[in-house]
Amino acid sequence: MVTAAPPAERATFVDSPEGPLAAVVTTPPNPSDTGVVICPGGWYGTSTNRNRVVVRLARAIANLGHTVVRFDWHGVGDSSGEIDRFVLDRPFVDDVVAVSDSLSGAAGRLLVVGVCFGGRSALAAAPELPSLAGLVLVSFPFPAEQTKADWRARKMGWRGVANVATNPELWRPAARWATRRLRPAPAGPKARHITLTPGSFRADMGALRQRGVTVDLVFGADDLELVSFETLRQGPLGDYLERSRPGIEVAITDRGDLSSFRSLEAQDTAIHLITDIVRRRV
Amino acid sequence: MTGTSGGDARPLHLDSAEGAWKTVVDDRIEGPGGAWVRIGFIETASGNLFSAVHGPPAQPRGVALICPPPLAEGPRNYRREFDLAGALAEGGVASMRFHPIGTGQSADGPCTLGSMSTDASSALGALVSQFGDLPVAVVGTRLAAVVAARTIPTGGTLVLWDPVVDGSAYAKEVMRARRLSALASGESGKEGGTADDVTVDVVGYPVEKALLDEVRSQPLAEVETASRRIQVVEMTRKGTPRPAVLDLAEQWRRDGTDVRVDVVAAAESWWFGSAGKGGRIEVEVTATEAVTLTLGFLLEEGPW
Repeated sequence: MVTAAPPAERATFVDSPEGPLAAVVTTPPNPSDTGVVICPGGWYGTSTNRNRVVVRLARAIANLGHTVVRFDWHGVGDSSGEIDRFVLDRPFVDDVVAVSDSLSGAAGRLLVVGVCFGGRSALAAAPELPSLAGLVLVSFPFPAEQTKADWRARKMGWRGVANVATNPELWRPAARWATRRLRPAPAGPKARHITLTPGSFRADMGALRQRGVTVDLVFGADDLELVSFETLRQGPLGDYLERSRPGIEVAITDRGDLSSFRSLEAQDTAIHLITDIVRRRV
Repeated sequence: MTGTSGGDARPLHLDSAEGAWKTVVDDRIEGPGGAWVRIGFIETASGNLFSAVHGPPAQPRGVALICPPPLAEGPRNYRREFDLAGALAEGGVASMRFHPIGTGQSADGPCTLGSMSTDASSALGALVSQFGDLPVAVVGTRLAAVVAARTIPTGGTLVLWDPVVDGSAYAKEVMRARRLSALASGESGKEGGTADDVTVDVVGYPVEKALLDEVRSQPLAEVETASRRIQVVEMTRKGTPRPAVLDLAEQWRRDGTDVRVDVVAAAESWWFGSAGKGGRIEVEVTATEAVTLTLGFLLEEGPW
């Protein structure tokens, strides 16, 4: 059966420092005062993501009564600009802020959903979003080697660090991470360098809690990102996350990869889970 | 939101002989040289089609419709189509890109060769109605080559990027991607691909059985195209076109069609690339040579 797209769906360009960004706004018949921005993952297709999972998510959230906007990163899809790579330390803050600002006239409160690199960019943009009420971070990408290396160093103390230093199998991952950090900035000229560490993540979470912004971390059981997150949860972030409930919640699906959405089942799971979170949080 | 410019960004409501559809122009931006882009939805009987129209500063000398490949192949080619459309506008040719029903930003619905052909006709109707009766070129990539060949009006110029010429081989490639993806995720590789399934999950894309049946039963060689001028761009690392493409070109030439076959170096494993490292989609976004070749062909030897 063929179903027409929502009648109030419209395409638009949003001004940003990187150039006009292509976006689609879905507006329900009687919109609430909450606007939702969906930040796509870091890939080179369009904001739709694999099998347009983001489109279906936007329409599902709009069915809850909220205005939703999805957009293409600069240099991607129908947006202007150039892009080289998606780098975690260079989140696209300006893109997120520009699109969020475009909703400010229609919505008093803002909820931002970010998938993988989109979550990273949403978190980095949070200080510049005064009406932010909630973040939903799907498959949030912690740099794996970095989190493991930091955690090991704290757990092991100086003697342990000395042992690691003499064992290439243990220090190579950290060296790879450090090498990446030393590379020149590959992204656009306006991409900002914002380091992501367990410490910075915790500080960001603390700042959001002070503002009353809720955070939902969502992972699929098969996400690569889940490995890094579990390393942190068993280490430096564990107690903090537990104490921060219900302001910060963690949801992990039984199966499926929510960062690349490589199965229809994972896509449906993500849409249902995120829609439920929006329903609960707003 | 970005303010519209140029003064003609108001919604257009157009009648079509194909049925009741209209183009809703939602927003428009203008580049420094005066070329512009408009994005919006075309309302059709099947649902809303997302479209992007790229236009020159002055009245265009012709129009081009760019038909995207469906499913996993669409995102791989997207930015090339974007670049081609922008370059055509700078060369005085207006063009339209669109998302077929069931794909991208468009309305829900099954995506088959039949539905894509209907969508392409609607898109071309909107484009021609907007700019007038101008010479037409149609570009189609991979599976959309069949769509483009069906859609091209008499006298139009056809451009086919890496066309699917062997439907059975395409279907096998799709199912092989399905099996490899399933194996990578710990499944047997046989799940979800039975003959009774209406839709098969292939690396997260719903492949309609009807689509595969259509592809197998309607090879490009049997599509009666009204075009008498065709460019085929092969994307391969081998340096030479596939024998099946050369055979097809020869067949078209015997029918009196002027055919040019170009080759660009590109690592194109269209479906397997979508199940790349860590499950992430590794998209080759550059491959500018295909854009350059087609741009040169259309601007210098196009129907205008």
